[in-house]
Amino acid sequence: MTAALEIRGITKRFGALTAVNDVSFGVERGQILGFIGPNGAGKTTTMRICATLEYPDHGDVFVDGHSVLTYPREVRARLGFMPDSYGAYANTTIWEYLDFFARAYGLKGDARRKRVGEVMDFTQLGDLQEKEIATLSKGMKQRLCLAKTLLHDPSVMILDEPAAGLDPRARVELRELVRALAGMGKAILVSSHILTELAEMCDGVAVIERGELKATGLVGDITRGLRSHAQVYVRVLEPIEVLERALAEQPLVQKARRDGAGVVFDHAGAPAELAKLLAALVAQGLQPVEFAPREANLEEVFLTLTEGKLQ
Amino acid sequence: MTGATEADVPASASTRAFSDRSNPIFVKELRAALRGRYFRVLFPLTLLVATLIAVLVLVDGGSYGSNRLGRDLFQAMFGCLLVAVTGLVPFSAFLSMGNEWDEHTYDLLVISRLRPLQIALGKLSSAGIEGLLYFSAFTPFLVFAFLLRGIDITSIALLLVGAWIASASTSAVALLLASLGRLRLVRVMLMALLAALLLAANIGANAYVDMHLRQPPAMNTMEEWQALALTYFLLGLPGLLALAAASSGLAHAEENASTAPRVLVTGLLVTLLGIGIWSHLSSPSRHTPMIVGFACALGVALCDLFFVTEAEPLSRRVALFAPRGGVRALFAAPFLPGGGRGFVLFLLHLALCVGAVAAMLAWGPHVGPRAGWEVEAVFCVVVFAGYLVVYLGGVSLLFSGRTRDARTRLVARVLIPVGALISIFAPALLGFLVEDRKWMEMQHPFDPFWVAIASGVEGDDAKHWAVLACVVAVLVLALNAPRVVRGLAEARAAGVERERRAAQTARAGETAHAA
Ligand SMILES: Nc1ncnc2c1ncn2[C@@H]1O[C@H](COP(=O)(O)OP(=O)(O)OP(=O)(O)O)[C@@H](O)[C@H]1O
Ligand SMILES: [Mg+2]
Repeated sequence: MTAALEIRGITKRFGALTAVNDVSFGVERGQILGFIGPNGAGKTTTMRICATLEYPDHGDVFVDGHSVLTYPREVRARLGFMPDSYGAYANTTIWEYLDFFARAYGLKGDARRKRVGEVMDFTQLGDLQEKEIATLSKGMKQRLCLAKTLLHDPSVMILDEPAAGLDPRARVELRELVRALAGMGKAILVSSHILTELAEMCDGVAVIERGELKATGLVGDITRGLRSHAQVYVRVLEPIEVLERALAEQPLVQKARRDGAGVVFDHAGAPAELAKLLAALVAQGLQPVEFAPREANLEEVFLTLTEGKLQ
Repeated sequence: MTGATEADVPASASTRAFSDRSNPIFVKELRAALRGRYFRVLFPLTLLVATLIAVLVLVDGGSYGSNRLGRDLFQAMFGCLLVAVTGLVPFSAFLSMGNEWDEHTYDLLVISRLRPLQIALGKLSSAGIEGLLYFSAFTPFLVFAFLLRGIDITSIALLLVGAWIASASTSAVALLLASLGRLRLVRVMLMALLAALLLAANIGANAYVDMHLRQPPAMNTMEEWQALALTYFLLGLPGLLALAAASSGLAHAEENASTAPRVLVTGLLVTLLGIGIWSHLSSPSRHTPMIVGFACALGVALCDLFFVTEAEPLSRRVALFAPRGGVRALFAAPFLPGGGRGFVLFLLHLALCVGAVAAMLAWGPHVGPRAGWEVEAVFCVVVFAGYLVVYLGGVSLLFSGRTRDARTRLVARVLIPVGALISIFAPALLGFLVEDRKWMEMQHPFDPFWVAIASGVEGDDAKHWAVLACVVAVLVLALNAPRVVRGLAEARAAGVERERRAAQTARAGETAHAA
């Protein structure tokens, strides 16, 4: 069984600039994949290719098995795309906006009215249906755009920086909505700059820089691949210099450095060695109050994989 | 009026069925237009101005006891109506199309199930409804003018139909212009162009109305009806072409937006040439073949200049759907996108024009002033076609390397007609400066009309220029040969590749079936 969204070796050039270079990855049903990379990395371009708004110079994208090149209309029927910048029509209410797009997706009669009602309920816009779009807040507009994206019940969703410009509450609400959608079995690709946001929401990430895919997979897998050593944080009641001296005698401890009131070090050994290390510290009369391996976070992944060069 | 009322109040089944079948853009535009400021302010304002003008006309006419009060009132009111339906309505169509670019909503339309033609038609039909509202608002004035006498009901009806066609046509042109300007700055310039075009159209329409009212045709002969049909057709033609161009302009850059307009232009050309041949054979005239030949060649060149300036290579998507098989693709090549292939189509169109003129003169009776005139007449058209080949082939060849860029394409498309006009009129100005009488009177080698006519049917004082023009045209043809060959070869290769893929799929299917 192939992934719901499958990107196979796509390349896109704008004149001399290669915006996307031989990128391949997939998103499974029910999976939320975060798409991260610095400004100008090629995220939007990749997403626009998936949405049939650009066509790749090489390679192809398959949505539920349909090629964007050969059957773009089939793809459009199965894919919901929420662009990073979009506007709303003047003199149009929420209901009219949704009704219009429902018509544009070919929904008719009672089915259309029912569907518009459903997406308004899902995104909690029902009470606002008479409001003109021009008067909506950013958070509401974002929800409206999400509602629009859901009208034709797509099985694959592509959200380009949906959380940009939202306040914390609106962000949490959006995250819950996206989670709920994944729960319905939709494959979701989300790009964002807010990495903590993505880390809480996504099952995996794809990292892109200057058009090249740097890594893809679960955050944990990627970090394990990046680091040969476990990172450990330790804090003791004794003065920090005592701890540093004790650690310096341990053969498996590398790169010990202060971090706040404690010390972080790389440990090259197996978990059993780590347990021995703790015992050794206690045996030396130290009183550890914190001793924990430190998980690499998305920010670290991001900073390690990308060089911070802007394109 | 709002959508929610439609949702809440049970509308009748037929209303719902109608609303379901209507173009979504049309429904949306209509809702927005009726709520929008543009319409809500302009509509009453127009009526107010019209009332004022009506009062002025009546007071003024009444004071000297005019016996054509009805006609004066009609003319004034019709003028106001024209401003509304061929000024305000196209402008609102332009703004609503421009809005899609400004608000970045066009992408959202593209990824829905709407097709570009549907989008253009939706915008056009909502402009049509807006126009209808103006028509109905002006009806009381027009009825009043009729009651005052001085104008017959047939004239009113004919002019109203004409105004309606003009409204649709100008709105389509406005949509085309708006579809070209995705950047605001470009659109401001296009808006100025639109304003100029609409002004010219209004002046022309008012002049026509004046002429019509002075000598209203009785409409009891076939010729009068034919003339009327031709007038309506010519009024609608720019709109039809603009609609085709707009919907291909709205299509995705990689999508085949060229084949449909190419077929449309070819079909129109064949129709017009057919009408020309028929009209010449039914009532032979010395002028018909020349007018038909020149007008059709010029008209088709104006359309084809869009095709010859297209980006040269086939997009991946179009290549995927090339006609199956090399030979078939080769024959279809003139109708596939691409500048080189567009040039082939243009040559075919010119050949059709020359062929039609030759057919008229060969099949029709001898109409010329002397023996051998027919051959000279055909030569005239050939010379004129030669100039067109130089304009289109020359300029498009210069830009052909960079036509992938939309801006370069725009420059090339503007440069062809503007360059031709400059090369025709600049020498006349120069003639003024150096006081050369002939050049002043547009009798110079850069004026294709003069060279073509003077060298052919009117004697031979420009024959050497005509020959030179033909030589240059052949040179341009030769220079274009490489890109034409590349274009044809590319089409053929795409056809072969498609056949190969089809065979592969069929084989795969057979194996699957066998398994
Ligand atoms: N239509 C276009 N024409 C020319 N260049 C383009 C076009 N679209 C994108 N680019 C370029 O391609 C590169 C990738 O852009 P893209 O928008 O995909 O990046 P991104 O990862 O989405 O960046 P951001 O985080 O800023 O949104 C950029 O250098 C951009 O300038
Ligand atoms: Mg982006």
